[in-house]
Amino acid sequence: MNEHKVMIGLEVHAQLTSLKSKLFCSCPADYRELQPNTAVCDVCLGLPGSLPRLNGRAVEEVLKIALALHSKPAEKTLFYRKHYFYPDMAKNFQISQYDRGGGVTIASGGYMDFNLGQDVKRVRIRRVQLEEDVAKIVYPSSLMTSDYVLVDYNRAGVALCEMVTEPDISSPREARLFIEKYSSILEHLGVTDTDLEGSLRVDANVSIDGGERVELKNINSPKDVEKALNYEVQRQAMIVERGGKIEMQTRHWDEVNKVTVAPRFKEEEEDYRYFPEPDLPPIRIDPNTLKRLAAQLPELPDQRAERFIRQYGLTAYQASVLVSDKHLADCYERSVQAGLKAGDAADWFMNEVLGDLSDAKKGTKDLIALTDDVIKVVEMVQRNEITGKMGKRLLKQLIIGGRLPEEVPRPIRDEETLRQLVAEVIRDNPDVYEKAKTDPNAINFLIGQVMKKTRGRADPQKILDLVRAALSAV
Amino acid sequence: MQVKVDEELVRHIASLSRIKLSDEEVKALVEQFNSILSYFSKIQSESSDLPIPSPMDRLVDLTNVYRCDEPRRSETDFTTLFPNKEGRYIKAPKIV
Amino acid sequence: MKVADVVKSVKSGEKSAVEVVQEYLGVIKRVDPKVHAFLYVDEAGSLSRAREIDEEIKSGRDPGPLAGVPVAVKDNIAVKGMPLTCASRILEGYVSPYDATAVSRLKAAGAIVIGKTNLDEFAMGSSTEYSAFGPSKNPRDLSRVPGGSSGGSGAAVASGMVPLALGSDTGGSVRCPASFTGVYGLKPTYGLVSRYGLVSFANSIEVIGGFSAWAEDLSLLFSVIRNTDSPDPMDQTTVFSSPLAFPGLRGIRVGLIKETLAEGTSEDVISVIDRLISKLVEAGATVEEVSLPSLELALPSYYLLACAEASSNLARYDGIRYGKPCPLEARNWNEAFSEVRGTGFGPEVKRRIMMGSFVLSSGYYDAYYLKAAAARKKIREEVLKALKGYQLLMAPTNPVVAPKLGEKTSDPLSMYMLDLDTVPFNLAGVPALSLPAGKGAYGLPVGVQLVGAPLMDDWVIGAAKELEGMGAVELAGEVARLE
Repeated sequence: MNEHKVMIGLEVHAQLTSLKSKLFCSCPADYRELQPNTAVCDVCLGLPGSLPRLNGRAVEEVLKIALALHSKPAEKTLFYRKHYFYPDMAKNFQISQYDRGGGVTIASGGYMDFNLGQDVKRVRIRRVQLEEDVAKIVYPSSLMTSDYVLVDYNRAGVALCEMVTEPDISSPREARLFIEKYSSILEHLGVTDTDLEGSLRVDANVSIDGGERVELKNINSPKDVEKALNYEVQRQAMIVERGGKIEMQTRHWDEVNKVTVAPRFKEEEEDYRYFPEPDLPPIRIDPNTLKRLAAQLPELPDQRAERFIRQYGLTAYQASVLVSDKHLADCYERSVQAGLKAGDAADWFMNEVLGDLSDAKKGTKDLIALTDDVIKVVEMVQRNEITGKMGKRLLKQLIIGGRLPEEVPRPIRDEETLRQLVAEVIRDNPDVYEKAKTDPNAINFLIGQVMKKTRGRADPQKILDLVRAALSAV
Repeated sequence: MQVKVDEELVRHIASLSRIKLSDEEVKALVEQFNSILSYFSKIQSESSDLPIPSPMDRLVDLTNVYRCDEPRRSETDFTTLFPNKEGRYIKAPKIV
Repeated sequence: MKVADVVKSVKSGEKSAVEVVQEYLGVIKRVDPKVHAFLYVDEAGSLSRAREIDEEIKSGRDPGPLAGVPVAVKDNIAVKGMPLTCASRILEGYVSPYDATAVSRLKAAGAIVIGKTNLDEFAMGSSTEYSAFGPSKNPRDLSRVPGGSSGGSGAAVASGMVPLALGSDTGGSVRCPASFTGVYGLKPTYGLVSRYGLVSFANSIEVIGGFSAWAEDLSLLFSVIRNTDSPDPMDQTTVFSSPLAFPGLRGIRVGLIKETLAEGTSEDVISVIDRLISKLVEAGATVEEVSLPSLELALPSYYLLACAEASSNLARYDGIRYGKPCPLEARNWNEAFSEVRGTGFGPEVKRRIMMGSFVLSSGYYDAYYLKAAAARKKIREEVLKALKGYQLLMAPTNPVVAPKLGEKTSDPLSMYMLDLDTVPFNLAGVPALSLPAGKGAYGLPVGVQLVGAPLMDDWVIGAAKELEGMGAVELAGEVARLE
């Protein structure tokens, strides 16, 4: 496949999971464990005679996001109705925002920087807006074969922040990094718990070589972003390389089969018939509110990284990896505050901890409860109470199993014991012992055998010294 | 702008509105729309110099009307209203 | 009997609430088969509530300023546990799980909701002939329409079936039936009565209003449902204001709107206006003609905006969550929606939804919707300006007396024309009251509108009270006896 110029714009929908109630009604926003259609009311079901009631905190949460993205808040903003018919929309219109014909979204413009290798890439933000989420549709079998669908309105009406970028993203990998950084910002702001299923959803616009853009919808997990975009870019590249032309269309990401699919029939181009929502007065954004929010803004990833470099002497790379995930950064800081050596602890978290979490199929959220024990283990290594290798093994046990063993096995340090073990190994492997006088590999074999006998509880450096001593004693 | 309403336009609007019409209904609507719109067309000539109001304009001069962020579970079981259901889910026609 | 007197006798024990309700239920049983004002009557529920009220009084508690008074509610306003059909097949069988704010306030004041009244489907119409369940009749002449869209509520009061009724007014839907049936009808200032529980049709324009046979009764009804101390948290477009004392007609300047007396307004209506003018002058007011040229745009502006909002507000009726079921066997959800809406909505509703979708669609939005919005703004400015020079404005409610059943239904435009004199005040959001000032052709009622500045509803009611007191309101308190 040839090289193609790729342009990607993202539309990221983040649920404001910090809110306790929905955007336009008092139904609980925390719907995930509930029975279907229990967190519903006349408003989010669109019953005749119901009227929306705006949750004031939602406006502040979106303003925080706007500030973090250097996006300019409007002086006055309002809601619009976006009309389309779908079973997941209780009113068959969504109360959202619009930026044309006199419409003003909560914030516009702005940018987000993220690390791309050694460089810093900037993506421009087009707008930030507030809107309501839709209901969940459940298919009894698959999308294509179900005779009917089931609808649960528990999620309908939950507050969403929609953030739209300019098409400045140049590859699927960049898109993933962008989303990761944005996730971390949302976490640091405390507005979205990105670990919750469905809390972050992405739509993308993809075009190659300046051609028509294809809209890609239904990327419901940030983890799928790179995969979905890779598939789409390759699909478009193949068409173009065969001499075909990309036509403007909307495709859906099928997360089961890992492909993008076009809808079965040609959808009439949706005419959303936007007009201002008459049931909600406009919002005047007070400069004093902005000042207060800006002053109260928590430490964001970029600032935190800078502080890690300054305060803990970390490298830029170490700092950027740690702040890319708020839970990881929090646990790391706790460990340093508990007395661990900063630079060394950073390596432990970045390498061992992350790797073990991945192996255990756990997330950094699960790390929080384990942090005290992680600190214990690293402390023991840093104080030379156990070997590094033992520490790594303990950590793995801790993260996979959830707890440390009752008694942490101590390293065998007693010289006499070790000398005896070395002697035993030499006795059992006379030929290797002979070879070891000239061949370093044989020495390693002997060391390996001693380590086996100690079940890894000895310091390999110590054993090497003893083996060398035994060799030279002859 | 004087719009000439024909059957194609009426069918297009019916589709936009998700309203199924019979052929007789379509024919009748062509006539009615043309008569109504020609009466309404005076609004275009007469208000051509009037300033377009801001979308923020409302009859009542209110801004920043907020509800506080407190959750409340309704005691009503709304599933009794659902015309088609399966358990506590609403049953709806298939999408495609 | 005036409402205040009913309340007095109930509270004093002279008459029980149960007796009051039984009397009205009796009238309904005998008269409604001729008038068809009601879509639903709650006999058991109202008697049960009446018993409760009697108990409360016996135990020394005060049930409120409307204790024991039966009230009829237009069937596009939510009453918990009662059907809410909006006179449409698409909501057949739907029972509201909650009360509208106006209704809960009436209940809290001791009033008893006796039933739901007929209307033009989804409040779209001026004669109640567009109801999916058959028209209501004008109690003054059963071959004629009672007006619309709140025709059932108007007819119920005008025939003595209830003393008070709630309606809604989007383009004249309270004032028109009040005028045609010969009772009082009030359209309050936009936002002063909560819209929570009013099924939306044109939500930037409509309000909940009320009917009564006496001005004092209207005042009492209004005082209960209005926002006095605070806005309604259930409706974020509400305002509130304290009641104002009316200083009396002496010295009040009244502006008679020239454009409402143009050709198309029948002579008999003009005669009633003239008689009322002389009464106003007698009371010490000055009456002058005032011109509001932009009123020529009021009807087209109103219809374009109202249809646009209707197409949006009625999009939710798809048979998925409530009401007439959506056919699951349809090929896909688009067809299912189109089927249920095609059969569930009547012709006028379909007409307006489609007109509205058209007006909002790209390519036509600027040419129609925005122009209508611009015209609306001009009309509102002109009306408010006039209300600076005059404390009250005056106009006929309708250009003619009640038409015959079937007279206007073949030509939608001719039906819309009935609203000529009422829509400007919906667009402007100002309070307007229709008083049953006199009789016109065939002895049929003629209503006259008094209009006030925003939040001056009490002045408009006060003026009506004073006129009634001097005998200037010919049909005040005079209900049609159809038994």
